[in-house]
Amino acid sequence: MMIPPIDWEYVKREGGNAMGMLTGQAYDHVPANPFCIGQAAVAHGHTINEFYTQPAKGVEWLINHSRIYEYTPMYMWIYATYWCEDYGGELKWPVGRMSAPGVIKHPAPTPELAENLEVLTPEEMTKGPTMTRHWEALSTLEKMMGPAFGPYSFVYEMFVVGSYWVGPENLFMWVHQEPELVKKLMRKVVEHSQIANELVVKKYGKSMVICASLLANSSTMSPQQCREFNIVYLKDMLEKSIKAGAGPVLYHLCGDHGQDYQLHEDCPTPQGSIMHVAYDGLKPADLNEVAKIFGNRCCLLGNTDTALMQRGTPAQVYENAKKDVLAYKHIKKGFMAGCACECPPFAPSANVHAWMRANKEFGSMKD
Amino acid sequence: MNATHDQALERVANAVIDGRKKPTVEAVHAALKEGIKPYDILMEGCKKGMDVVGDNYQTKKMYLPEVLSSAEAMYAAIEVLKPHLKGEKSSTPGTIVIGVVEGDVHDIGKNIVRILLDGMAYTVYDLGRDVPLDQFIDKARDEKADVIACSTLMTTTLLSIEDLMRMMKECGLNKKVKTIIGGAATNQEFADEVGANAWGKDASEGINKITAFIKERRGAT
Repeated sequence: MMIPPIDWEYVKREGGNAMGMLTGQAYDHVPANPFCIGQAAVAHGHTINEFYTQPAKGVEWLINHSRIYEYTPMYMWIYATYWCEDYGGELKWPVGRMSAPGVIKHPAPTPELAENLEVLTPEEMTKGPTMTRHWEALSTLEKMMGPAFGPYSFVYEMFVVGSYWVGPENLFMWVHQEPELVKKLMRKVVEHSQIANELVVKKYGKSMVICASLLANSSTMSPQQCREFNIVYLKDMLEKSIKAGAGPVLYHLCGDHGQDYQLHEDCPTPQGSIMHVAYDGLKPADLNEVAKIFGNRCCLLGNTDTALMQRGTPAQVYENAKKDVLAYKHIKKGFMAGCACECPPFAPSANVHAWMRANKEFGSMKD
Repeated sequence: MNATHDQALERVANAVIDGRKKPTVEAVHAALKEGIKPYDILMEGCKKGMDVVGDNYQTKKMYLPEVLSSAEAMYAAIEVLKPHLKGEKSSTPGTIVIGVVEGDVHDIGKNIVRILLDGMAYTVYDLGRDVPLDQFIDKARDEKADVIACSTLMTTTLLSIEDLMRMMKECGLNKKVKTIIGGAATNQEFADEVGANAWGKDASEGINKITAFIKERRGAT
């Protein structure tokens, strides 16, 4: 191991606190997790590229990073471009300031190729590049965290996975020009995602499904289009996966969802689920508004502006985190402080500390 | 231009607005057959159609699926018109260098801006995504650009925009070329901090500001 021994006292304390909230038990203070991914590598003197190409090391850095800042030990080694390479696409792995792998080749960029694209079998998927990395991350986490290990699958957004296969501009255009083809493609994404979830369930038992709405958002499509070409498929995939033993669900609504987060109301939220609504337009969404729909059903994850985390002063970050935790901590099913998306890998350490400090000082559930 | 010509141009504009490639191409061929000048088909048909698309996008009557389809139709029309445009004035004065800064591969927002600029018949040099910063500077110098427009979706690559603005100051290009930044990670405060001339909240606002810069520099067109 490259990191100091795990501080089990801390894991028990902070992990137990979060579990209390997610299971509807009493808990002492607002859990807080700034959603650091690439930053964990940078904090250990390594590159973002190493984080994503060496999952086992990435997991170790994540574990130690959480202890450095004492945030809720909830670990997610993932990257946003899952499921592209498996179908013949190509990724560019981060160099320099590139904060995550990006798609540079889509495997089915014509209607004919999209029409003929076949969903991988479970046997093919489990040996594919995405699951190979995912398995490495999960097995490292399991080995290191023992009973505190929480397995998860990462299926991301139905629409975005479709866009990785055919190209985002094609997919958007086809919504207008060939809606039936898009729907057919989305059904393939559902089938694919269901298999991915079931592979994790088969290996580890009940596991959290991390999904998203991202490319289909209020800036790119009308609410009706978001529903018709993304959310109905997300719901279908989740219902089938939950039936097969998966869940709870973490919904990551990344980007502007001011006009469409409400449409996720029909999606399932089994016990322990988390709803994360990032932005309404250019500003972080008002979670007290979001709570009117989801506050009685699942925990809400916080949405500190990532630009503030990177460019704000520690004082600004502290004041903002204080404002949020005081405003949201009594949401019925709980509030977990978080960032609107990944905490930027190069966000200053002083800002992460200031964010955590505010949540600690003002996050007591006794106040 | 007579009524038949007006109808033919309207048919081109409507086909672009509808975002249908085949009807657009057919409408362009029909307009050429009517004897309408290729430049007029471009400006009074395609551009007019894209102006409506831009307005509808701004007022949220259209979203990306419709805008990208209209763009595809417009580019198909331009392909038909290209051979006929030789020797004819085919663009609006104004040169823009556009790209997504180094470290970021998310380019849909940038592409929308480029499409709308193309629709306005400016000369646009699209450097693509994940563009090394010196390429913006070299291209703007070589082409005597009026505006450099750069964007990023990712917070991390705000640093690249900051570096580009600094590099422009260091070589004095900021005195010759206006800069506008955009993308989900940016805001007015950041634009002010790094010394960009403008920030585009979205594609429509970006286009309006770029147009204003070009008018300011070249006079009304």
